[in-house]
Amino acid sequence: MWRMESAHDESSALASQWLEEFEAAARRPLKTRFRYSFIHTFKPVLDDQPYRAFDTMEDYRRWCEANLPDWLGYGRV
Amino acid sequence: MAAFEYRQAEEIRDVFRAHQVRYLFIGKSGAILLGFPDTTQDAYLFVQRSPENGKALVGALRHLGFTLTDQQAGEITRGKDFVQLKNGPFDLDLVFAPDGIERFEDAWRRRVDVEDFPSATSTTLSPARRPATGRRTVSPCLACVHSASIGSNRGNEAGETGADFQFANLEFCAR
Repeated sequence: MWRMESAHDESSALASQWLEEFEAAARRPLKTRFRYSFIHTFKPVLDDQPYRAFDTMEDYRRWCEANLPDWLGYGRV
Repeated sequence: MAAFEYRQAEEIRDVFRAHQVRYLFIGKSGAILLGFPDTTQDAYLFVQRSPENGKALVGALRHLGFTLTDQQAGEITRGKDFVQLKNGPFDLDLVFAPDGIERFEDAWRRRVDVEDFPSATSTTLSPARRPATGRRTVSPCLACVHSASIGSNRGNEAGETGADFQFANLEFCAR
């Protein structure tokens, strides 16, 4: 029982945090949201070629798994 | 290459409109349009796959400054499922067959326009595909719940606003 309540409290806290973040984002103009949301870092392998095309999304996902370092975050969970 | 900027999104919007390209922002870039407060490195566009739209898309991309060989232009016109472009003024990913969305028309009908930027919404996805097909997600349920309170969007034909946040966006690119 304690665990359930604890989990509920945690979930509520997370929900509150998300609410605050959305409300803060909503107050910013879209242009500002863009400035803070889009970042760029060099991505090894991925940034090495100017063009890639994949016949299927499955091909793309397989390629990501086989070629990109895990820490880039393009793998399947 | 610098980060994707608002003015570049405006260029996409304006040039794509001039060339009559049918597309939607999708992935985390679409989610950000709808108010999702997070970061991403990638701009994804869901583009309608049709010969006419493919030709229009190639014209628009060249107009924007992307350097495409004839072979690449052909692949884009035919609509390969996924195309990564790093040969222009900014990086852009084209998705012709995003997971969980069966028809572009459905997504288009349920889109939300944010400052005339068309963005896909969660309700675009078939219920069986919500919330995700394997990618990491970022608390989409909470995001979905609260984006309802963001009132800056006009809403779509179904009366949905930024409200119907986006499992589609989040699941495609929560990175």
